[in-house]
Parts: sequence; C-alpha cells; structure tokens
Amino acid sequence: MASHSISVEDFETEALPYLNDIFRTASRITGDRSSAQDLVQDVYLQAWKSFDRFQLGTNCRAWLFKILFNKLHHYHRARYNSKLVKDAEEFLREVAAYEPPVPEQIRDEEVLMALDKIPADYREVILLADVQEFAYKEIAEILGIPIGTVMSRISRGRKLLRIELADIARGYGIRNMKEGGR
Amino acid sequence: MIPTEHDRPRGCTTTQELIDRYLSRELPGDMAHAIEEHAAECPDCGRILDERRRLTAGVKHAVNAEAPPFELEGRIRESLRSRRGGASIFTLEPRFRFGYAAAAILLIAIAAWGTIRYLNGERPDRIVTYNPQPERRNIPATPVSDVLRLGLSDHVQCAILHKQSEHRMTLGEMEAAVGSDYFGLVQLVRSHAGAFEIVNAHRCEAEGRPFVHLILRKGKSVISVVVTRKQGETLGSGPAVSVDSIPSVHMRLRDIREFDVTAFETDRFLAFVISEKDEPENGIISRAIAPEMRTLLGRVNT
Repeated sequence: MASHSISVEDFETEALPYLNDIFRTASRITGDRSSAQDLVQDVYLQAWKSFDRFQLGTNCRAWLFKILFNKLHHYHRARYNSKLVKDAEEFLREVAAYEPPVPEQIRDEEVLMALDKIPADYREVILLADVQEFAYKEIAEILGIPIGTVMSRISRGRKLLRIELADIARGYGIRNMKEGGR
Repeated sequence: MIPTEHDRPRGCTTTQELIDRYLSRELPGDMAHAIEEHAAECPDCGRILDERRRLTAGVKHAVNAEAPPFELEGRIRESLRSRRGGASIFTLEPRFRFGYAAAAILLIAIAAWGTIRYLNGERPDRIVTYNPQPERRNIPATPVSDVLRLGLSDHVQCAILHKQSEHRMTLGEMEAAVGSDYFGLVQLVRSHAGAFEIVNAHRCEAEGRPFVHLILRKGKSVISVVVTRKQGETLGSGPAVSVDSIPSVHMRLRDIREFDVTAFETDRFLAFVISEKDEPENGIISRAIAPEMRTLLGRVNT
C-alpha cells in the first residue's frame, strides 16, 4: 500500500478528478451502473495500493484507465466475446460498400443504444478515442494492443456504430438491414 | 493500400480512408488541412466529414450526459481511508462494537442537536466548528463560512453562470436526472415552493464536488436547493435550535451580489437553500422542507 510516503490526500488530489470519466467508461462497458460503481471503487483501491509506483505529474488519467481495462478484461471476459467480434467483422465485410447516412438529429439515447450494441472490443476504443480523446498511442498502451489494432478497431467500430444508429433511427433490426444490404 | 501520413490526400478515396485518423486528431497539420480543403471542395466528402464529426460529437455528448452516482466519490474516499490503517467498527471485536456504535450515535446526536445554532445571527467566521473524532478521521475542522460557500458556489456556478435556471425540465426529466433516490426531494420541494416553481433538478459538480441541485424560479428570482454528501464537514455544535428557527446568513460574492444561504445537515448530508439577499421565501421554504428532508436523505442508500 502506498501509505509510506504519499498521503491519501495526495492520491485523492491526483486521482479523484478523473472519477467521472472512469465511471462513465466502466458503465458503458459493463452496461450496469451498479457493477460500474464496484469496478470503479476497485480501480481506485488498486491505484492507491500501487500509487508508490506512480510518478506524480505524469499521466495519472491514462494510468487509471489502464487499471480499469485490466480489471474489465480480467473480470468481465464474457463481455469480450471473440465470436461477437468475428461476427461483426464478417458483417462489415458483407456491407463493405454500405454507408448509411448519419441522422441529422441524434438523440443521446439512440447513440447509447447503438454504442451498447457493438462488441465491447470496438466500444472500448471508441470510448477512449472519441469520448476520452486519448491518442492512439495512449490507447494502445492502455489496452495493451498494437497501435495498428487500435486504428482498425476505431475504423470498424465507428462504421458499426453508424450502421447501428441508422438502424435504430429506421426502427428495425440490424439483421434486417443486413438482409436488405445483400 | 492504406495511405500513410506522408501521402497528401488527392482524391475522395484517400480522403475517406484518412477521415478516421483526422477525426482522432492523429494526422499532421498539413494532412489535416488537406483533408479540410478537399472536403470543402467535394460535396460528397464534405457531407461524409460533417456526418462523422456529428456522430463523434454525439457519442461524446451522450456518454458524458450520464451522471455518476452522487455518493461514489464519498464511498471511494471512505474505502481509501478505511484501508489507510486504524480500526473500523467492522474490524473490531464484537464486544467493542457496541461501545463504538454507542459513541458514534452519541456524536451524531450531538451534531444533530446543534445543527443550526451556528447560523443563528452570528458571523460565520466566529462560529466554532464541530468535528467528530478529528484525531481519528484526520480531517481538519472546516469553518462554517467555508461550508456555507459550498452551497453558494454550486448555486452561482450552475444556476447563475451556467444559466441552468433558464433550462426548464419536465418532472420526468428531473426524475431521470437526479435518480429515484433523490426524486423525493423534488416532490418535497415542489410541494413547499409557494409562489416559486421548481424548474430544474439535476446532478452537477462545483469545484470538483458532486451536488444534487434543485432550481426554483419566480419571475427573475432564483432559489437553489442543493444537497451534497459530507466530506468531513459539519455545520457546528451548540444548544439545540429547532429547525423552525433556521436563520439565513448573508454572503457576499465579489462585493457585487449578496445572497442568503440557509443550511442544515444530517449525519451524511449537507443541504443548502440559496437565494438573493432578503428573499423572504428562502426562510419559508427552508423551514418547510428541513424536517422532511432529513427523513428523505436518511433513506438514501446509494
């Protein structure tokens, strides 16, 4: 525990400003506010335990996100279903030429519904890139994946999101669109 | 082939292949500029770029619209402190638990007993604060004036500077915004608002601290009712004063505007009613809502 040289107050000053960002990301990945609260609490306790290894003044936010995703990948493996990713990739190949228009008016609830429908592997890079505005290099470090994988997941994730959103706006299922797109 | 950052976009295909990196601010300046130039000249690429920008902004807005749980920060602070060392009541042997529990109840009772006195016409900076077990909790005593400014800062930043008082919400939107745990406060305040109308209820942050914030309006007059979880602060101690005699304290903001801040507390929460100076309904509303608000806040679990 980091109690030897750094106070809890130092840790709180450094780390708590990112609480909302960490919670919102956890909530969108787990899909459940209660699980997200527990997870965020675990993240902060883990961060505090290893805070002596953190260098004050460096990127605390990225470090907290790295802990978050370590925990997510460890405890929520079921959400990272590789079959879903393969299905999504196959689906993207089938609709490679299809580019649905993005609705003029986008409602928050529609965006969130669309986001929740795409596989977690894609959702997490979109959250890190588009919401948290991390650089690709930072995302690669947070998720422990090559930068090329970050780029391809962002591209595919955004396309899936556009398709899901258009689908929601039209009010029928993605598989219907897929059938129609063939 | 995917273009590299050394390839200037010369056509629609290259531009569209680079759009994701452009939106992620991953392209060098001259490349980003070339994308913008092409999109300005090409209606198709311009439309695609606009759509993608709109969706990226929409995702950010939608995700950030989710209000984190009001108590989460307090819960994390508590758990950090409980792991810093020192005994928690749950780690004590059962035979000691009763004694600590009794002591805690006594302290809470003292705090509740003296809740309001500090506001009773005294200047805030002269009031002695009360901080239960300061040596155990290692929380420095907070002057009452600083505690009162917590509520005032949220009112000023949110209701006035960010003009949330001009953003009308339906009751359904208020319930969604504050959550079911706190919607009782909306109904309570609404039923005691008199000539004021509750127009907005939401969760917000001021100076890094989370609040549940209810905004009432009567014409141009604005009253805020804000609640925040205690982070070691308390309003003070002293002889018992009934909630019927809650006075307000005038606070000055940068020598320009003056406000009345009325405050009361439960064992876990601080509550404030803030209005322009000499707004008589501040006291009326405070007296009306304080007793029930204590009960409502006592039932908040999350």
